Amino acid sequence: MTVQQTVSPLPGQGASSANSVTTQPPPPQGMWSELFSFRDNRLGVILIVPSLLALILVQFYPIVYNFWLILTSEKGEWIGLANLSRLTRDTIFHGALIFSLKMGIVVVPMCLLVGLGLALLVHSDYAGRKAIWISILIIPLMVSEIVAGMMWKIMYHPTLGLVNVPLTALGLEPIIWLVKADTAFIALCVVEVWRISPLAFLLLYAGLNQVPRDIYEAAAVDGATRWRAFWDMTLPYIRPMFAIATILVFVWSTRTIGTIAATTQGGPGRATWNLSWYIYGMSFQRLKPHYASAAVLVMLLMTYIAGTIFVRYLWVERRSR
Amino acid sequence: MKKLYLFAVFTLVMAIMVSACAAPAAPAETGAMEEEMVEEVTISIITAQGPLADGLVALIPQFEEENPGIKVEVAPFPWTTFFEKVISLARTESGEFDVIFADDPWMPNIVDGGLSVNLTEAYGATRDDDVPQVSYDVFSWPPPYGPIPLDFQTGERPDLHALPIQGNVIMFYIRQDILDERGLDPPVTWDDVLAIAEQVHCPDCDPPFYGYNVRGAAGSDALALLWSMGGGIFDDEFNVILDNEAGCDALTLYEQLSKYLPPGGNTYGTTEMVAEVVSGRAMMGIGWPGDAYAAFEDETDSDVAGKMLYLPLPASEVGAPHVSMMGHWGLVMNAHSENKDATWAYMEWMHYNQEHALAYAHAGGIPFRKSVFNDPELILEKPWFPAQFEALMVPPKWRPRSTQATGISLAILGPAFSAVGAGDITGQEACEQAGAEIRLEMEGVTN
Repeated sequence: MTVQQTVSPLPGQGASSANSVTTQPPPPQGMWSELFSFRDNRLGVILIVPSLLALILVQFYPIVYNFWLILTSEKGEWIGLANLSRLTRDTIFHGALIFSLKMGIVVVPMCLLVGLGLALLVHSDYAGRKAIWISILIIPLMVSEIVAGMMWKIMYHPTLGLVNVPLTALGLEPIIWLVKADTAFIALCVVEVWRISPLAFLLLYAGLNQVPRDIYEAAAVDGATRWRAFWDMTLPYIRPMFAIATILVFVWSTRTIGTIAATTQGGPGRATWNLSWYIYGMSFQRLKPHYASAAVLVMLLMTYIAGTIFVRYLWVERRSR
Repeated sequence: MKKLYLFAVFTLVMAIMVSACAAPAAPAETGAMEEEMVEEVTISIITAQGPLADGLVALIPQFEEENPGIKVEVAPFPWTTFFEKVISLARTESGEFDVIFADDPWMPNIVDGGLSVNLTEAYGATRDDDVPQVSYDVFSWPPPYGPIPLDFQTGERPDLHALPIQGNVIMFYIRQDILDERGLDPPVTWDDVLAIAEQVHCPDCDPPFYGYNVRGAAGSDALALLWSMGGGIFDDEFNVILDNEAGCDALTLYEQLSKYLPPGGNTYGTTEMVAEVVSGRAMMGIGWPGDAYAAFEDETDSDVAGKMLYLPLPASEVGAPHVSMMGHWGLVMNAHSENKDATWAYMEWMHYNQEHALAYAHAGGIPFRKSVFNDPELILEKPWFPAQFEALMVPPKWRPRSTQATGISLAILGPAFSAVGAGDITGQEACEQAGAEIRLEMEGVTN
């Protein structure tokens, strides 16, 4: 039996490389025809109707309502796109948007790297009792944003905090992390990486568990190095999970609010205002929910665009069964 | 057949869920026992977690005993979400809570949002001579004086829309033992404060000692500093005056005080500020009695219990008034409450009886009656009461009676002070920037 005959199809290679063991995928159908081809399963459709209605109620109604808010003034008068147009001139909003994007750009790769590293480590033969490792590693996920923020704020304390201990031990000046804009940004990124990496770890670990072991044996027979096997086989297999992890980490890191509330409260000045903090302040402190809704739309669009890009370039769907 | 069975099960489950979610049917009036049960009223109070709620909770058994048929429930909310909840109650016209234990700066939002009942008109609420008049003024509507936005200049008689329960005022604290040790006088002006800070500041000592201490996160003490320096956000015609000489002087003063802060002091919240004081590492600062001073005087955890001196805020110059900032809390009757009479019975019981007010203070609450502030037994426990009473009689200032005041304070003034404390901009630059931002914010605003 040749290697090719025993190897499962790699994601993205489709059924053509899967030899005769796999069946041909069904002819492609449109999304709508797939959605509504329920002639043979009416009961199933009826059963999901309540959930679907609930979903429409909780997902789509707020979005529609948000659009209504955007198009009206704080007094409820129709103002068209004035709120969106005002956003283009709002330098505080621009600062918050840029801060959110910067946070995403730094935190996403860091979380994916840490998550992947941990996933590979726990998935390897070196880690015994994987369940214990997993339950320890996901502890940060269980901690609320506010608690995580408070904990890290203590750790960043210039004289009492743990973070400065190695620096002072080396005879260096302790860093006053949260006082200056640049160090506060780094400090927040570290908190977010600590908080969100376990999510990436869980998803990527689940992805690793789906990779068939036999492909590594086959690759070893062919003389592939470990790095080669990882790059050419493991990574393609976990790409869908990678895409999901990227999207979720991006969403979590750009939307954080509890961490900011507990550590910097947006300071110094407005240096650590992100979009969520801006929207919260605009809505509940400055009492401009209509204008804040315009910022919510930008946030949604940002997430949608980023999600589309991540799916487009990272996700390779496995069509074959 | 199997599908039919599954469908029947699904329908049954849905029917049960729908009936469980439906509003309960009105009780039928059958029998004396049921009538008796209907007569019992439960009133619900929304408040912030901590000492505010503790005082209320402590007095509930006595109230319920003296007022059979009225039960009281207290719903404490985390401070961070409390204001949002009050705003949501106004937006949704909800009667979920009968009483709102409200912070005084929220009065414009509460009255403008139609959430309060005019207590003078509806229940003949009056002013008690044992309560400082400013404590009633702050809960009167329309505002009797001070900067009043256009919409609120109605010319109507100012009526009570809440009854004060906590007469809080922000104050100044300083280490009396160190003043004595060094032969220094307590500060009268902010210049005195700077001079003392410079003398005692010793960050390289072991342990370090810091000349000034602050809740620097988001510029929490900004407004108090501004007023004590003779500045303000608005003048009486509601024009922005933050960037006048006194306002810029206040921000410049903060710039100078920042030199004597603990490292990272500009990011401190109340917890860290208190920690510096109780560990004996900070000389002085300003703070709310309810948040901080009880911790300072707690002999079990504090190194400075009995060593502190409490004063009204320093003045801008000798002879100028020692203006503090009010932070009163009062009981507002929710206009959407279905239990208004029972709610009034509770509010009356809490506010108009001296003994109840004294019991509230003993339970950890902050007094609002002159007689309670001057109670000798309480002063032994809470040595800041005489200074607090003195500050209250100056009188202190309340935060501007505008729906935009909280936003301006948190989103413009706070960040301006924070940026100055971080050394990013000078006090002069900060006051000019913040003044311009507030003008922009207030364009077209009439409430």
